[in-house]
Amino acid sequence: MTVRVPALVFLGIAVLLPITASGGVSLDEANSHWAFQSLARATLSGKGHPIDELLAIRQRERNFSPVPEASREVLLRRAWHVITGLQADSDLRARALATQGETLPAWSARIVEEALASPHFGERWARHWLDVARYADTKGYNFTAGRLFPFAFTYRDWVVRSLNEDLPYDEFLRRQIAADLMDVPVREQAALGFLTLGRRYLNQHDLIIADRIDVTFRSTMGITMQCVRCHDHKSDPLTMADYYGIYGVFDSTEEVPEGELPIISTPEDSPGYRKFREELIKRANAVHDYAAGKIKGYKRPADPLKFDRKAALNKLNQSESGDYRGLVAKLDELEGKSEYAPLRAMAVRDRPNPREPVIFERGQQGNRGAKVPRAFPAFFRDAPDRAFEKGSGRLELAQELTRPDNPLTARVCANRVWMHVMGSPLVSTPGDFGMQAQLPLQAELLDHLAHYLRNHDWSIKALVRHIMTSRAWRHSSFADDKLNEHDPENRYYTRGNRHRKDLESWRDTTLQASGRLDRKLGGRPARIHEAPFPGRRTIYGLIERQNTPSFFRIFDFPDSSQPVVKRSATTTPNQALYLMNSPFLHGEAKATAAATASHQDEKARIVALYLRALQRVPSPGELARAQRFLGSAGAGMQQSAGAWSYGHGRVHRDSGRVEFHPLPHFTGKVWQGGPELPDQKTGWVHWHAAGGHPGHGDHAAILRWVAPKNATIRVSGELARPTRKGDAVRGLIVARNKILGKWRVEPGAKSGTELTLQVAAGESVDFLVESTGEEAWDSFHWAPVILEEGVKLPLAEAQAGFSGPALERWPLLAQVLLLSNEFLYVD
Amino acid sequence: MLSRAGMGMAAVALNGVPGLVAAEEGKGSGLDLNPLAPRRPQFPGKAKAVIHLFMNGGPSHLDTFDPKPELTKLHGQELPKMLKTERPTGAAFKSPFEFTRRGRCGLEVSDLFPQVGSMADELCVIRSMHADVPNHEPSLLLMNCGDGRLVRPAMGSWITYGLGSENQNLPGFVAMCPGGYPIQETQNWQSAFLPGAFQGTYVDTRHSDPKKLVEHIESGMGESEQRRQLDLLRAMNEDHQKQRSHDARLEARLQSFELAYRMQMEATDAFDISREPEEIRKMYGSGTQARQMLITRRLVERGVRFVQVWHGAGQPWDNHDDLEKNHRKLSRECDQPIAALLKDLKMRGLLEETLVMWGGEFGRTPTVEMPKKGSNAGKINGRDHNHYGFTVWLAGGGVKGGHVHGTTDPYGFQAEENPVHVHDLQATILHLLGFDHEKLTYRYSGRDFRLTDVHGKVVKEILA
Repeated sequence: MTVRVPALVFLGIAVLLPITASGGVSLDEANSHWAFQSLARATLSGKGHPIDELLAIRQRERNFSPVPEASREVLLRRAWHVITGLQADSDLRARALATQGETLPAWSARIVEEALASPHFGERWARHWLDVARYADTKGYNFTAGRLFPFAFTYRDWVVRSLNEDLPYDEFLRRQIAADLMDVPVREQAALGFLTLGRRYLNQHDLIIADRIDVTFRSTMGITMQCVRCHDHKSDPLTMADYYGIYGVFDSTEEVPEGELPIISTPEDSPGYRKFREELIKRANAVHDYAAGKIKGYKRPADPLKFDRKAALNKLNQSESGDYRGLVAKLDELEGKSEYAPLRAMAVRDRPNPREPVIFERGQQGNRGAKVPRAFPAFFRDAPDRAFEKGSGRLELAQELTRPDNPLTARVCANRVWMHVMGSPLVSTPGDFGMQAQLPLQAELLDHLAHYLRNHDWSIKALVRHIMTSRAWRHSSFADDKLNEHDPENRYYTRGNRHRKDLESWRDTTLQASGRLDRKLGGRPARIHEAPFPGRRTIYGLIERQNTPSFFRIFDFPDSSQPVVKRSATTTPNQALYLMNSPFLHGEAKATAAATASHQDEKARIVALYLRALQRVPSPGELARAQRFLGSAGAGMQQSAGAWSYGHGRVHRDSGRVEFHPLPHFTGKVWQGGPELPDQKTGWVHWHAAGGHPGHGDHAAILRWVAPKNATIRVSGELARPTRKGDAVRGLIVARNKILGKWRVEPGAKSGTELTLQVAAGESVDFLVESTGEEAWDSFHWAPVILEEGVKLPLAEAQAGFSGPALERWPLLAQVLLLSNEFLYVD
Repeated sequence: MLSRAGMGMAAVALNGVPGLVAAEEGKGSGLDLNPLAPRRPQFPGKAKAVIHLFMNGGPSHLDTFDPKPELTKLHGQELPKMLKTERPTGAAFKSPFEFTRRGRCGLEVSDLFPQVGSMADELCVIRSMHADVPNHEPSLLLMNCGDGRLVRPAMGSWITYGLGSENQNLPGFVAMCPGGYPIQETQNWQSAFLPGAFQGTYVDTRHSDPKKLVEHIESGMGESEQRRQLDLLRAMNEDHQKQRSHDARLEARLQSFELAYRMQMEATDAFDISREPEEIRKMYGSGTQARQMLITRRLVERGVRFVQVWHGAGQPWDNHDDLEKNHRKLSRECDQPIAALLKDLKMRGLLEETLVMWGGEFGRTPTVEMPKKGSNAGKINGRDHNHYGFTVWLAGGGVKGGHVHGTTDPYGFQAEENPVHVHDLQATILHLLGFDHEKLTYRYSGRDFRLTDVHGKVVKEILA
């Protein structure tokens, strides 16, 4: 029920200010909702860690007793995973595990402290916040203008830095909403990216504001304002007046135009910088040249980089505007992408004259209803009749959100921090603390954590430290049958949750294992999902909001159009396909194997691989298994379908001996001499699934098949030389140093290449194609099929059996370790 | 806990309400461990799979399935009724195409679609469709995701969320578009706040090599070599699991590698139309449309839940100019393949349980589009967008065959009798699959979302 009373005269106009507004619920109901109550203070005995004491209350009710604490090895891995998303480096690990004479709690507290001091803390925890802040580097769908936000990353880097510097959480929030109105250094305006980096919805103003309202309230207070855009909330004490009160705040706020974005750091003068400036001015002049050609009396600005885009656009027709925007996009692109460009904040500012909001009935912009003041949602307001007074009201909004007696902001944050540390949230709907959110089982604990946060200067690090020094955090993740049966979801925290690495920590630790991790903090986004797969941490990957590459989506990276507090954690065959077959994983497996190549001894190298990937030594059984794998893999002779290899060389006519040189380069389709054809050494010689091309002189194309067993085989196939230009090719089949068959195929002709022969296991049969005269136009088709006498199914087929480079045996083993559950799950 | 076969996991922790998972932002559930496991709908549905043939750009209903003799009479004159259109339009513009009664039902279909017309007795033509606005972007999103402006999951995502997929070796939701993306790009098949596993898998059907069609499907090594590698992985994972037997996630992940291993073969096979007998390939004809329609049948036959087939990148059917020439060219490309798809499905007994839907994001105006600098070529022989009234047809999957539902006004400008909004169409599709559209929900950010938001009414009259 909504009660509206005329409450104040606002800017000289009488408006209705709902002071007891309560949307679709009664005020009594709303007043008694647990999450809207002020924080309760738990009574503590002072014995033991407060968290353990509070958890024990519920555990005792069910007669549950917690499991023992985990080993130091496990805790070290867990601590680094939770705090940094990485694994501890081997020397740090060795040092940590070598120390003696400390109790487990003291030791554990110390390693937690060490990890918290790492700058990688900020990267890990920034990503959690960026999910909530629906961060992306691009605008989403649009038709003409460039999609890249040139300086989104300055916001991302601001978040990383603020977390590393432990900026108090309330201040952290305030700056993201109103840094431009606060007495803080200019560089802090990078925080405003929080507001500006949402989806652009084809520049539909009301939707851009809707996005800002949504992200502001969901990330801080865990309440959703989406519904009240069109109607009063059905279950929460929120009304359309509340929505449009905030709408007015953001409607009175404007983005700083791209050319005027505040500079937060300037690069030093250097030849590179000067070149950048030159190019920048060139591109700006291209914009002015275009405008001058289309607009009568166009005035070129004194500084070519300072100009009014809107004014020009107003004078251009639709297609010209497109061209103009394209040129401007090129300018912005350089500003955004060049490493010499000054860094800027994606800031906002108040409009000179604040706009007075009205309710849009049913959410339709054209349907203007009653006027409302810019104000904080009535139910949560500090004083019933207080409307925002200063400018847009943005700073007052930020202050209301972080008011010490706002019970939601601290609770929502504490619940999130607990979730990221412990693996599951106390409030099972971490994105929603509204009326439908259920009272958590450990409500006292939630309030204790929220209190702790508020009383420790809103320090996130202090809260993380507080949780991680409890015994509950040190619990082993192994549980007995009784606990598993009676509390399968571990709602009572009687044991540790097994953490599954998310996209970021999985990819980053993979890079750690391979030694390719680039530890540089911050900077422009990198296209990490594409070759050559830069080794930057995943948080620095370019986030495309519109066509998010499947690499991100298959590993549950959230949709960046809306705030996500808790990610999905799916297990799908698409993930497995990526892990098995992607060039990225193959590259990592190779690099991991290569990093252990200095070990001559096979066993020592296996141990080294285990240490890199899993941070432990293999058991004797595992060692033996790995050795068996290395012995059997790669030799290829036991393949039931036989094995083909692709090379070049020649057959000595006198001895029948074949000189076979494997072709070293695979394009993904074709085996050839090098990245480009013709190769300097081997010329045009190459093989693909259906045939190939011979090289010049002694560079015949050779397809080699190795027999898997003793057999009488029939080789069938057809050698074709389709192009009518050039001259003939010659095909030969050679085995046991004898030329068994020889066919000359003229341009445009083809010839059957059938013969029967005996082979012994391990012997090779070579299929050679030589050029006669000129090698030009000598492309041929030849994909032999090998049948065993009396057997219907072919023993081997060149076309179906065509394969790219097999990972050698060490990379294959390394890949297995990187794919294992042990690698992905953290006990 | 989980069956070794990795299939038939429908029983896994779906809270006993099949297909209705009250998941909160991916809270650990069977949905996480095997999101595509087949699930039962809320009530027995007639359709098990959906094929959406998307004529993107907006095909003209007036020139295909909604004949308007009145428009012919008034050709060149001002229409008695004018509605606001996206761009200026002028006088009445008669269809340059002949309509013929086809099938036993005598359905009138223009000579743009003679072969589809030969399947008239299977078609359920809705002539009274309407949408919200005359612009491509919001209309595409409305048709696909149920909301023209906000970011919402696609219908295919909702349906695979509700039903899982019958084939674990293939993606459950496939979106095919030759040569690139349509307008709004991947947003048309996004899963938004639903888990990424329900996102449409994009396939560029310009390629004919099946290995190019699915990402990372090619192992690049011999089959037996990879088997040996996976055997080692399995042995390692089994050791690891022994001490952690209560964690179902570990077994699910172990199985995911086995599924992927099988997928390598099955997916390559599914996309390889060269394995079809010659007479079938002949029936579909040649070219890209034939290829993608044939792939569509192969996918549906293998249990893929939702296949969306786009005509082409951009908006090919958006004929503001030269409507006659362009519509003829486009219909020639797809008429035979679409008819073949219907015939083929019918021959195999698949049409009964497969709902085929044909249409664009809207239709086109009965009035001729006037020249406007920068937006058309000024030829005065095309039609503008029309969201007030347009045609969509359905076939199979529990709808009446040889049936016409609803009308537009005498000029074809606006839906008149029994109007069907896009939300109603979506509610009906969900109904045919066995879902109450108001109850197929997903809890996200404190609210139960659904495909039809707060709208939608099942069109009972078209149900067989």
